[in-house]
Amino acid sequence: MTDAPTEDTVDPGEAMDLSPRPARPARRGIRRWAPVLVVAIVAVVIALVLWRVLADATLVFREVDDAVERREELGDDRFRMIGSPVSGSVQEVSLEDGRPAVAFSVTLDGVVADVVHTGATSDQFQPEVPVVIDGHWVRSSAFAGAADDGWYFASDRMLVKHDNDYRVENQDRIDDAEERGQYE
Amino acid sequence: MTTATTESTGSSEGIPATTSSKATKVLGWLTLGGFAVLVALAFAWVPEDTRITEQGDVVGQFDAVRLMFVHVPSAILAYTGFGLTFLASLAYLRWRTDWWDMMAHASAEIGVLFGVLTLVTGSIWGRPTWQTWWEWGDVRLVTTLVMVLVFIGYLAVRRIPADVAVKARRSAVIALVGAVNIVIVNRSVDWWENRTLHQQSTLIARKIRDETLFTLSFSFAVGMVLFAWLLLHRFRTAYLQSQIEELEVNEALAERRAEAGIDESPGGRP
Repeated sequence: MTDAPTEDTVDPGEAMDLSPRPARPARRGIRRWAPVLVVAIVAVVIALVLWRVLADATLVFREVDDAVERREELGDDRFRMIGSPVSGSVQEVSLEDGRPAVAFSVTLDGVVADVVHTGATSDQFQPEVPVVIDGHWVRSSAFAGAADDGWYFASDRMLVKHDNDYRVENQDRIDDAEERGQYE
Repeated sequence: MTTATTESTGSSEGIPATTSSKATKVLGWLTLGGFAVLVALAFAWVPEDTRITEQGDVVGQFDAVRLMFVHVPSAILAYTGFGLTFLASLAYLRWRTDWWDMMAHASAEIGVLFGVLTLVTGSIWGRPTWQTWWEWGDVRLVTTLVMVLVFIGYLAVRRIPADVAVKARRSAVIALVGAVNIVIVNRSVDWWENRTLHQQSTLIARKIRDETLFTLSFSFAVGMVLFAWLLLHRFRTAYLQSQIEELEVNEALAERRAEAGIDESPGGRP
């Protein structure tokens, strides 16, 4: 730092004018508002996600016992049901109009419901592995299964929940299947 | 790797010209080497996931199981990044030093990076395993998405022009609120077991074969080294940025003084 300016060189008041210089307007506008816009967009997206999930009852996974208990209340409403296919209950059937379907029963916490599924069946579909099925209740005894309570759940979409077991079971059977060319 | 130069200011003494150091170089090479070994283990050593049903059908995730070695570490690193942001924000509110604020910022960016990677790899894994890319009704998926969005918002808030201290305090509060969701995301598969397609923890249940467990543990280690490497570079970038901003202010002051005819150079005209 040098000596302070003297009166004969420059006026001290003007020399030390540190007021901000005018910035380029366009750049300032973008700089100022872009982050605010991003924050607003993120807030709106979070609100939309929560609204979509909380306001749409068809998206909720209903457990079998809950779905059976509220059957009258649900009526023809479409919803999702989660439960485990009962071992030995899976069978191929034909609907009245001739369409092929898969009939089976699902269970959770001791409550059983019969299901008729007309959509694609997942490769992972197997007894005891939980499935999430989209559909609605139908009052009919046409496809009585393990529940046989005068209702069945007509589903057309199936998701299979994978369990957390990555251990090897029955390695000999896997080797046999590989030898048979069941998979490579 | 970030290289910062401050030559134009002519007063960059004491400011490093790069974010690199011996430690980061070691970490970088460890990450590269570890990743190469991880790829070899994942594809050449770990068998595919298969099992035989009672009916004799072969089912399983098959090769999709190998995504586990990216997806699971990504999720853990996202938790780590956001968790560190929470702790650093807490420390900032207590001690009000730039160091904690820069740490919170750096870890949040890395958390978002791994959070997005978690969502993408999870979606790719979900298609062959669950038969769906995404389910809006799934508690685990939606809470994870919200967690990532909250921290993207956190980063955006940091970009809103404001006084440094105001900006730091504002973002620290958001981090504290957003961190609540980290616990919800992590525990969601247990709290709402039948509201999600996502499986419960395999490691806690110890339902995993030895080769898969070893490779998964190795992927955690590689991920942690990568995290440390990224964090060091990002933190140093933030530090350099703050130093450069300080220099720019000084430079601007010097320019204004020069415009006013005040020569500050040694022997210059007053």
